[in-house]
Amino acid sequence: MSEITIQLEGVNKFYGENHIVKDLHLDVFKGEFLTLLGPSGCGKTTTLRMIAGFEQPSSGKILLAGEDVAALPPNKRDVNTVFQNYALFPHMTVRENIGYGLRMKKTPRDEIARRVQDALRMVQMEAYADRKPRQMSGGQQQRVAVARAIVNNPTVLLLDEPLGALDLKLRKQMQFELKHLQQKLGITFLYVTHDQEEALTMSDRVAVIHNGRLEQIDTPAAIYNRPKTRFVADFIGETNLFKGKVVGTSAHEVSVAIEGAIFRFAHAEGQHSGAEVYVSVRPEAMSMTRERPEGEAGLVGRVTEHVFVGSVYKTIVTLPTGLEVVVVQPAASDGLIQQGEEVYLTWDSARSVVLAS
Amino acid sequence: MRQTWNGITLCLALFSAGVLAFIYLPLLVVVVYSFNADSVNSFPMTGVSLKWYRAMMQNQQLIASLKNSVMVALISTGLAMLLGVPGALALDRYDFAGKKIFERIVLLPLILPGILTGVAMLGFFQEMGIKPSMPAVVIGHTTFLIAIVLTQVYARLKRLDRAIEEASADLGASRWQTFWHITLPNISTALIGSALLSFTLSLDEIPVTFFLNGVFNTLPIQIWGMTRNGLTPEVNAISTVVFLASLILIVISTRLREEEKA
Ligand SMILES: Nc1ncnc2c1ncn2[C@@H]1O[C@H](COP(=O)(O)OP(=O)(O)O)[C@@H](O)[C@H]1O
Ligand SMILES: [Mg+2]
Repeated sequence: MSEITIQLEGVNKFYGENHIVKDLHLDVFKGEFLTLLGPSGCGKTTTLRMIAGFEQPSSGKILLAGEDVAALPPNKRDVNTVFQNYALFPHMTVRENIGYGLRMKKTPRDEIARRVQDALRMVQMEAYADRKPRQMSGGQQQRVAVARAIVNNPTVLLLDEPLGALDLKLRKQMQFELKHLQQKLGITFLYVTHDQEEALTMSDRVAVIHNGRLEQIDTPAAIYNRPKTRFVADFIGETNLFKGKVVGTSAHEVSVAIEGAIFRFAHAEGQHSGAEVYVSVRPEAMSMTRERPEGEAGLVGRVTEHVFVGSVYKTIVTLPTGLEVVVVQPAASDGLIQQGEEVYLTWDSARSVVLAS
Repeated sequence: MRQTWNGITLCLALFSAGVLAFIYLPLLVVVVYSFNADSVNSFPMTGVSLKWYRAMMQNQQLIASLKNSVMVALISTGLAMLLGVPGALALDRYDFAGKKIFERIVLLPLILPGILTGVAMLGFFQEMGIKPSMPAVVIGHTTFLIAIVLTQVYARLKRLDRAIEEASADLGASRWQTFWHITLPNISTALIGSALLSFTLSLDEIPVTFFLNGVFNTLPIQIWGMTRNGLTPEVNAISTVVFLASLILIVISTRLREEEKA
């Protein structure tokens, strides 16, 4: 997993005055599933289009397998794309669609037939081989689009929100199938989505992009547990953000004043005394008790909502300042807390992060 | 309530029938009289015969003018396609100064009265030293047929999903391969449709032709000449043939359009 397949070196993209992609550095390793995650309009599609060759970077370099591809048109790049709306050829059957890339490369007829059949089997679309795209559902078209790309054995597959148009149930199923396919074929996937849950479940690594800038690139667990910026903490999953001020630092921890109480946290390199910070605590890292916890500083609040959501209880505790804190606890801990009660909130400081504001 | 509705429906039906009769009755008369056994157009007919079709076939001038018309229609349609299709592609693909203005003035030959185009061309050709002749007629027809081809093909190109051309390039196709395998098949209905339309329009064009033909007679001009001494049954026969041919062309192009929508 150390060989680099795609390398972006300080890539910028302007459309007129608009700075769309900002100084993007990105290394994609061979065989990995890397996802570009960010809200709609943050420049994900533009980035993919520059890698595929449909757009030129305004500055910076793109290397595929170590080679600068600035001069290569899309048809000369060893990448294939699964387009956002599939872009199947409407006048061709499924079989012809899938075989198109091989045909363009002058592959022998019998080899095309065999490889198309393999690809059809891989996406379970053998029964639809002779249909036209418009005679199929969105999910089926999606499978054909994937087959049309992977049949060419590209070193990299670029996927632009491939599941965006599908309903939730089908999307979940296709997430699983795509991941499975990627592992089986060992093709590098550069995947684009604005759905953080999709990114976390499918990817080896996630690159979070905000306003054209790379905020953080890490494993899904690290992105979730150790967000590096306030945007990442907020965008990925649910979190509680407490505004605070650093009041003391030592070698391994910082002390932060939050809502009048002092808390200590590890993992806060680079924070100096007096800095305004945000502390991010996931709902499941929060706990609440009726009695004041011993030796620990705690925040006091009132339970304003307490609902059972399947396997867990979700509680909203409102602090005197009006801040609403979300607490998630296993269903087994039920029976302790009632709506309207006053509770003490504490958190696992090892699972909390201090972020620059 | 139901009663009133039925009344309105009945009125509408009668009105529609009236409009249809107004449009098609004259055509029907021509078709029916072309089979008349008598040489006088009067009802009831004394008998049915094909003798006017035989007379039509033997009228050398008429047949010659039909050949002329088909030839002019074929050549000018071909030229219009040759110039109009690349024009539409260029218009669709490239931005250039004055593109918006060009999009509008290219339609001018279609909107302008034929008589104006005819007079203008006659003057222009005289300046150039070109005598009224068949080439002059072909050039005259081509100018307004280009406008048809260009606008129809351009309209289709604008509706074409650009992503499929990108997908083609992404799958390794060169620009030329993409045009041949992806673009062309997806605009083929517009190509055939505009060619058929051009052909029919050229076939029955009178005003522009009238200024440019000299001694070169096309079918409509020949027919017009023949009717100056009253409507002969022969004219009914040739008109019926032209009507049938047009009908077939129209049915084909309608079919094509429906196929594209499906
Ligand atoms: N061809 C273009 N011309 C001008 N602006 C563009 C063009 N393509 C994209 N943009 C702009 O760039 C921004 C990022 O777009 P995009 O990369 O499609 O975002 P995403 O895929 O993350 O939703 C958007 O604000 C969009 O309007
Ligand atoms: Mg996008």
